[in-house]
Amino acid sequence: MKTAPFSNKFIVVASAILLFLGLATGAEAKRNKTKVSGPEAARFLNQTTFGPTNALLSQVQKSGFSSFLTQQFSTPPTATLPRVEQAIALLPMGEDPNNPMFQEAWWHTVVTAPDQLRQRVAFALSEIMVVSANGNGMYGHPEAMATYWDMLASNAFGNFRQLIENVTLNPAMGDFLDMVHNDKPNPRRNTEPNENYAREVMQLFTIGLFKLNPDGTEQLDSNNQPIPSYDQDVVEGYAHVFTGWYWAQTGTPTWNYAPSNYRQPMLAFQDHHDTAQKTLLNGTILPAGQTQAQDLQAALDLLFNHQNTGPFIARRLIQRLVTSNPTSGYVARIAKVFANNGRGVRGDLKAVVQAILLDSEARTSSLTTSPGYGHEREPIIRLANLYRAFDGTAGSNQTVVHNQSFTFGQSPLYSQTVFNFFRPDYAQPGTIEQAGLFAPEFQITTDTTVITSANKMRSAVYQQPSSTNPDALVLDLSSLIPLVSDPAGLVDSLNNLLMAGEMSAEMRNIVINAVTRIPAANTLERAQTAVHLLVTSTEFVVQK
Amino acid sequence: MEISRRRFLRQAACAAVGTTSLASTVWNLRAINAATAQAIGSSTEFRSLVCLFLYGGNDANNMIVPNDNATYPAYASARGPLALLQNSLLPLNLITPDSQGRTFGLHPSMPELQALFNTDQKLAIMANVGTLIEPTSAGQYLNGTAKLPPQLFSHNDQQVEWQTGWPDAPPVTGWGGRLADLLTSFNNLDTISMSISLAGTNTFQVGRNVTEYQVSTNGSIGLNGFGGNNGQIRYQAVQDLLNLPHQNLFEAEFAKITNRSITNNALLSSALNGVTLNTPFPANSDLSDQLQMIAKIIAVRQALGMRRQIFFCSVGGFDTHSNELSTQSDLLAELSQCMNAFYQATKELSISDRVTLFTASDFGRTFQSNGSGADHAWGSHAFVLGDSVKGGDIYGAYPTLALNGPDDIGEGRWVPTTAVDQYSATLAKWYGISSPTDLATVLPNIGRFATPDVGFMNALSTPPPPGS
Repeated sequence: MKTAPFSNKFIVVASAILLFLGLATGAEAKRNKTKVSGPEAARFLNQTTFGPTNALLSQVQKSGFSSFLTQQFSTPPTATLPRVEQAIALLPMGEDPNNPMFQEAWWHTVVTAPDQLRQRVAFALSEIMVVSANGNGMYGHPEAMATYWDMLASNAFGNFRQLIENVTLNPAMGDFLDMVHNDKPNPRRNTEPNENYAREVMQLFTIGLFKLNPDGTEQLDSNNQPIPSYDQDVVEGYAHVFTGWYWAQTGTPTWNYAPSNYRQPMLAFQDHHDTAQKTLLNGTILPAGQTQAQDLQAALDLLFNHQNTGPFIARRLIQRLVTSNPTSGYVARIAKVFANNGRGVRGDLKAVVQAILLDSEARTSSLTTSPGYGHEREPIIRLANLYRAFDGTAGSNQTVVHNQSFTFGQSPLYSQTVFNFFRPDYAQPGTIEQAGLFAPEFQITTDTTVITSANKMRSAVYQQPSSTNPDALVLDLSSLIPLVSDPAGLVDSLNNLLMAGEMSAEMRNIVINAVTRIPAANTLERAQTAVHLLVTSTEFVVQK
Repeated sequence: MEISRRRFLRQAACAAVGTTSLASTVWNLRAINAATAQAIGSSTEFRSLVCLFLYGGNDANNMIVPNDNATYPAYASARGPLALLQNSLLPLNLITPDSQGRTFGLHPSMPELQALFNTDQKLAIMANVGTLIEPTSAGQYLNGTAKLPPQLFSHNDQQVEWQTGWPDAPPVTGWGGRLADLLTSFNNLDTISMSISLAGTNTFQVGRNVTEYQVSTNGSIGLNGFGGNNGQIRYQAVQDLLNLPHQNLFEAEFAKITNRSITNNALLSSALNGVTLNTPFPANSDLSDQLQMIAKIIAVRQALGMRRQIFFCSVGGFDTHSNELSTQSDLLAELSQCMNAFYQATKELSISDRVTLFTASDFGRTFQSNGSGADHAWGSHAFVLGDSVKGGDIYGAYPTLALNGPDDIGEGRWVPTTAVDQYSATLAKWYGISSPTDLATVLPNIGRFATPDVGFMNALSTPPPPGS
């Protein structure tokens, strides 16, 4: 795998740009007696929410970044499960629940819920600690994904130690990575414990394959080779730790058969837990005879306290929220907060999220012109941006998005595997790879999805109320109608709302010209044309 | 430089003036490839390789199973809850008997492949193939003296190493991509990429010059919704936006992919217009849809100006840590039916000796069960299908199915006895790579293995070059 997270050249350029910090930023804000400028607020909201709205823009401009974060931290979680339960309760006789019920609740939540930062961080976490209803029995259990999602959201500002424990004991994760009903060794049947969760909790959720420095770069041995974090023996040790868990049950619990229960954490069955001695990370020995609760605490503490976990999680969260290629300094600053929030607490995710979003590498507007800064907006986030900006609603009050995997190459909690839709170290072949940069989202950016996602965005813009389809999501473009007689003003307004004011002069001219050529009497079509061209543009696609 | 030929020409054309250097680079590239091509053979006939990747790590221990009375009991007792019934296995009639006297059967859900193996003799089995840095024994692994492929047993790493065919190098290009770099000049320059993926981005097809073109199971797709009185205004604006220069590398790449897709769609959709196949393909299978589209693209090869094509398709779900018996049974049934349909389609197109399909997977799975499935392992078995295949035989060495036996490094993880490099080199040689230099370009470590050609392919008779 590629090891260089960043080209030295880019770090030098980025550092040089950082020297100019503070000169340009805030000047406009001061003129307008706001704490931050409109474009700065929009950039911030692109990183912290599923998309800016005019209301949030003015809130951030008035309150500033920190106050917005404080307000978001204290906003209670919006749960998806109640909406799913309601949909299940309303099912006609003979119809079975299915995963699109969860996805409807997800879309409804991310488009409308007030706890935007929490939902956005939950989405980031869901792409690190991946669970999916794709191609497995959970497709028929929308409550499984809803429970998992709500768990991520409620832990998004909590402690990582609690998060990883809740992830481990969550029944959807138990089903997805086979910890549920994982039995101790059985010599008669010649079976050994299941290694699935044991391997992936280390490789993908906490520490990764190689030993890291505090700045996220890989440690190298005397032959300049990365040093593995663990070996097969450790995988087997963890597999033995994770034995003896099964569905939560009412009545007398039984290991032999119980119906799936995706709403409550898994239940411990001591008789099916391996009590032999276990060798875990860094040669740590768990003594024989422990309960699974004791084994679990010790095993998760090791992962939580591992030197890798801070930089590992820091880099991934930065990639999801801010930029695909953070400098090692940025990762180190966040890892330091992970190690200690300033009050002696390790793993405080609220402090981590705050540090990521207030870091100079996230906030310095001038960085946005660096060639390697930013990341492709994930395709479903682009659509959420559109629905949030213009209040996409359906007559049925449902938020239904069809055919997402084909259209976008992704769909919430619906990855094909635990490796997510894309890997954090995916380097798009060609210019990006040659520049030493990663571009995770480009792993799903194919000749097909660039077109299908553009077609979907286009159709979403022009969708009109439909008498035959009450689920048709219609945008409210009425706020733009007064602007359409002045195409330049229209485009500038959209630029501030959707593109953080970053639109190039060339693009601005093209869009203004196109809008101008639409007859002035076609007021709605002018507004639609401007929105359509913006949200399908390459400059919009890349969040900087 | 990383440029698909198509894109290269587009850039040259767009630049319109001052393109001397670009144009001469195109010419040089073509000259280099043409020189290689002369050494490789005629460019007048067609060849195609189809890589079918089984994502997740197929448990081939239950795909090819010893069914003789001497060997089966050891299989059954060691596999425990995963053991298939002896009389359920579909017997394979080996042309060359196993040196240890074993006989083998296919998984019971694969009758189509049984017929292709026994009756048509167009299906070969590559036994215990996997990623290797150099020839390696279980003893060397266990005493720590073996040079090992990085991150054995990790899905994404092992997928990538299978696809690069170069496990001890950074994963920049795939062996299919390097093959395409050498041979792309056989095709018309002004057409779509010779490397086509039905399964999105992958490492196998990444070359230095040739990039894969990703097509959906419906073929290519174009931008739509530009009807109405003013649709043309918007379409022109979209085009103008796509042609803007971009300083940001992600923007530039996104625009590049979109432009490439629009251009390729114009070529491919018109070529595919009206093409139908009579061969029935299984319904409700994405793999079936992928292979059917591959067959259609092969059918229009002349309209596209293609003489060499490399396809990539995939099916997932093989990561059977649990519920393996039922899950794998469904997957192998799908695989058997789809591979057979594809083979029959190449017969319909009278191209079955020019198209070779081969399977690959992350790794095998532990012979020892975890109760209802098996965990990540190493060596595994693969299929090769086509009229150029010396079918009806098992190639390489089928492992001794014994825990702690001579092939086991733990829990029934077999050390591969054939390297991915050798498996791939055998295919590359059939595809037209003959000189050791070219072979080492495609598979740089091949010299470390005594037998670069495992022997499961018949050489194609090539028509003599024009004028000779």
